[in-house]
Amino acid sequence: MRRSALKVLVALLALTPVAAAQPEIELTWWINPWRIVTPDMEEGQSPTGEEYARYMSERFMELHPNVTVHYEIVPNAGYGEKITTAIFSGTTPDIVKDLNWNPEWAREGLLEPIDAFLTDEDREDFLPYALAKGNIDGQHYIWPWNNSNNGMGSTLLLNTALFEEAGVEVPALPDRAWTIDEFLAAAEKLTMDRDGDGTTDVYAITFAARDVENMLAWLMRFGAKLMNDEGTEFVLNSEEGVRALQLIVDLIYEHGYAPRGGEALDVYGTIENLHNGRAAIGYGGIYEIGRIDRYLKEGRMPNAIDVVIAPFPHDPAVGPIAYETSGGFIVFKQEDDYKREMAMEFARFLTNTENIQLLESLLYVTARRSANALLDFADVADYTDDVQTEVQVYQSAIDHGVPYFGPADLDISAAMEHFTAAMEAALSRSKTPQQALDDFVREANRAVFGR
Amino acid sequence: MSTTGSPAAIGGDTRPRAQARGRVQGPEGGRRRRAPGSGGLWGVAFVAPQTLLFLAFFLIPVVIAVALAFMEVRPTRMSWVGLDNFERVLNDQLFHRALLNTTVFTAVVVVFWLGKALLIAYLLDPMNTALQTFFKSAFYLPAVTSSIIISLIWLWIFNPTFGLLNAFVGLFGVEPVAWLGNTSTALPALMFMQVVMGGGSSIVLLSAALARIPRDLYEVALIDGAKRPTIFAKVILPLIRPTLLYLVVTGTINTFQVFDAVYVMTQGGPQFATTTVVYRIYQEAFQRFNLGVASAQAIVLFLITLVLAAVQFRMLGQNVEY
Amino acid sequence: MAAITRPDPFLRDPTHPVKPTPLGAVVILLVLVVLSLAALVPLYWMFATSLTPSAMTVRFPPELVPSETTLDNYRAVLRQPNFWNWVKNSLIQSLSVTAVVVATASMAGYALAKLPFPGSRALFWLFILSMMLPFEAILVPLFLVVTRLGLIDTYLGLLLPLMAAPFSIFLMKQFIQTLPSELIDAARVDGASEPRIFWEVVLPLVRPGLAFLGIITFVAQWNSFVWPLVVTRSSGMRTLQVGLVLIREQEPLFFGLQMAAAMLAAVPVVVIFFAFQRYFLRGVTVGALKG
Repeated sequence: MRRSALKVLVALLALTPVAAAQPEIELTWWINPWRIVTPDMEEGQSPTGEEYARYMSERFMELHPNVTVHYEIVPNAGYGEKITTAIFSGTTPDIVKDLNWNPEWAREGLLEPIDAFLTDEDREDFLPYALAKGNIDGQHYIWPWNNSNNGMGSTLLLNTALFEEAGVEVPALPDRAWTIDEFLAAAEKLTMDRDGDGTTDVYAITFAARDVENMLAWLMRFGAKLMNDEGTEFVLNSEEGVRALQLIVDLIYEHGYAPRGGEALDVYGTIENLHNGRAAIGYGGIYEIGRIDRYLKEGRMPNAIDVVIAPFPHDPAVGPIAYETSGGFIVFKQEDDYKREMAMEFARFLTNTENIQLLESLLYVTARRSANALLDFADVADYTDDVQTEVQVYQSAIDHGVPYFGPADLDISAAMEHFTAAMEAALSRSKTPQQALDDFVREANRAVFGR
Repeated sequence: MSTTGSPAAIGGDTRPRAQARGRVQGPEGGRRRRAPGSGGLWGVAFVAPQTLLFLAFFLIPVVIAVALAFMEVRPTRMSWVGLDNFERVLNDQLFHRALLNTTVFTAVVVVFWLGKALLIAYLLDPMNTALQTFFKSAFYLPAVTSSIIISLIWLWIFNPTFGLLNAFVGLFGVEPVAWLGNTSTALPALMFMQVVMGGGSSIVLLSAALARIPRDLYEVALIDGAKRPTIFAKVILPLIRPTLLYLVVTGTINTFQVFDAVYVMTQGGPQFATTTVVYRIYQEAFQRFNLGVASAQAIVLFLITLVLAAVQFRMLGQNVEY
Repeated sequence: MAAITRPDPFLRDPTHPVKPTPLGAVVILLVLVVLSLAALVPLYWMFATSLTPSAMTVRFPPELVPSETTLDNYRAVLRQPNFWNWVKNSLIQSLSVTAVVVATASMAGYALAKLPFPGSRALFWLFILSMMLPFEAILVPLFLVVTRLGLIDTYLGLLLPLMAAPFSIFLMKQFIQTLPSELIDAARVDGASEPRIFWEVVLPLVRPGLAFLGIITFVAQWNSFVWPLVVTRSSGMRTLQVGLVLIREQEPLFFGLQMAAAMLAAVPVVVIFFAFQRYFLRGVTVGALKG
């Protein structure tokens, strides 16, 4: 009798919720605008970037009622000022999107290492180079989230109507790989003077000096690299690099396959040219297809253009190369153990298999294998029938991804403005490709390595 | 209180002093200032609110910034490095380039924009109210929108493929030019933009200064047989000198700190042709997190500006009363 | 009121002693028109683009008068969820800072010009010197100070640093400097207290200066971006310029939207300008002491 009463007592105790053992805490996170469509948005509503942050914060608060989550959307312009003032005054938020990521932050002890919070499953599931980006001196500091970028530096967009008009076949599936020679042959035909008045109406492609990723992608075609393998020196002025840059300059001035004035353009210049039919080839991946779709829906483009994705043309001796890059969330140093735990929990929440798939609406591929397997991008581009094929081409292209900008734990931002200067010099022909690249290498080595 | 209507031929002239004194004084004459130091407590009291704000939110940060220039500043620690940052700054080729660009930019822009403002204010002064209002508003309007917006508009105007300027020169058969992409045209393009769009508030201020010149001074000069240039030199210029000094000094300081146009339009390019000092400071501080070096750069900028201001004060700074 | 006997001269101020000839007036008019055109064309383009449907802004050659117009761009901006909140915050910032600056800077300018005390010259130079360091250099130190004061993400933290205004003190000092000291001395002899002198004698005479200061301060505050971005953390405190940057970043190629946003942002400033610009006209500046 006493026994059963005792049992009932124990059973009752087990049922009562653990009385308020969890402290009330606040988490703050910053992210720049990501125009993700969230499930709670209405049809046809255009995302501003706020919805995603709000949605994730609210969902997390539902799961953890003792946590209040504050978010702030920080514009890209001004992100540097905001982060710098926060860091130097010790008023950093808890979780932040890794824009302007600087490996020094990890070395200075500003960030929480995430290794203790990564499960074995996570380590398998996150793409290796995505984790590697945050690997500083053996510890990881970034929760990977978005894989690759919008395709810049990896793939090209081909305007099928213009290809047809020029009588050029789009490279063949399954991966639409094409060689540089094939590209050159196509470029010649794609440059068209429709009305015979002596001015080119359609160019094959645009080169923009301020478009770092794509310019570097071109320079790497023949095997040149920005830095040596150890990451101790800039080596872009190799024979292969000069040859690639010379090819670009010739394409503009000798053959006229690309418009002049590229020294003043950035990536948006190339996008404009593609969108208004002035260039048959543009840059980007599935994100850019989404952009076209978005612009059409919002009346921003006069006519739809049908594009397919193809990798950058490759040199058979070198093989295909794409741009390996990813982004994620970092957690700033925490004093309180419970807060650290919850901050990590939130970062995991943002990047778990279910939530990471929200990137689909932006046509970004995720950093988790399990999530990528579930993406079908079904509704993201209404104006065109077969996005699935393009997605596959894109994913196969980025399979050949290599780091473009040296080792992940090295900050080379001081050198890259010299890169842009070198491109401007070469495209405006104020320096020869050899001079431009030699000057770049010299300045870059001095700026980053002090020699 | 004061009359607001036109002061013309109504009996009670609004400047009785000149007549009462029975002689006509140039602006420098007839001064009787308080002895220095006699403003006393009231002086301190009046100056106090701004001084307190200034101390807390300007002076202290400035002192900190100066201190930072002598340190290597990392997020978790700072260490004294003496003149190392300055050495680095003074040996930095890009910083030299920035100094050169900024100096050229400032010299050209300040002269032209102030000259334009003075010309317009002078031309407007004798015109009727309606015209004055119209033109002052027209010239001031660009100042109403932020410089970021102006930069965006002109970014489009200078666009090599779609821009208004190339469309315009195309009418004369000129080939499209990459205004912001060409090292020889980029900085002049920015200067042109600044001179054309700027000066609105200077015109308003100079107009106000011109309007305050007592009419009888003109009349006396005319009686003495002076022609327009003499009137300008002897009557107008001396009386607007305080305003001119303000405009020249603040204009120089502000133009030397040009940033927005570079940030929005050229990011310092092409090939560093439009890199300015403050843009370098911005990059150093907020992209490279190098506060020590950025502060040292700022101090170099400060010293140069100080010298320029001192010269301007010497040239234009004599005290004037009506 | 103009003298009854003199006919109203063509285009010119009837009372000005040094007038151009009628022909001269026409020439001047033409010169002014040409000069103002250069400044106005870009603004006209901004206005035209704001009414252009987005598909048409990337045309070459550009259309000076858009063939199609639409208010969609404006609607899109106003539809932004927090637009009016942003406007409210910008108004709070601009109006309060302007009011405080006009009041305190004129006081300080008066003191430096007419109430010298030991050290006032040094103080003036201190103000001048402080203007010469670019804001980028003191942003982080200022943020440190504001953090120590516990004012991050508060209205005080946003407003107080903006109220320190050495440029304005300089301006008012220059303006007040040219006032005849006799007027002030006479009032003193009459037994008026300093605050009364300031209020009744000095301020009316420098109304154009105050109006000018008010306008440029309001504009500067209305258009400020970096400090409001950095010191505010809650979305409830976001100002208009920060919101506009977010709009711009959504659509880098979408000029129509950006220009509509810029037009809307410019409206209050234009209103303020027209409200105050009458103070710059001749009649107001010549103040008389009427007992």
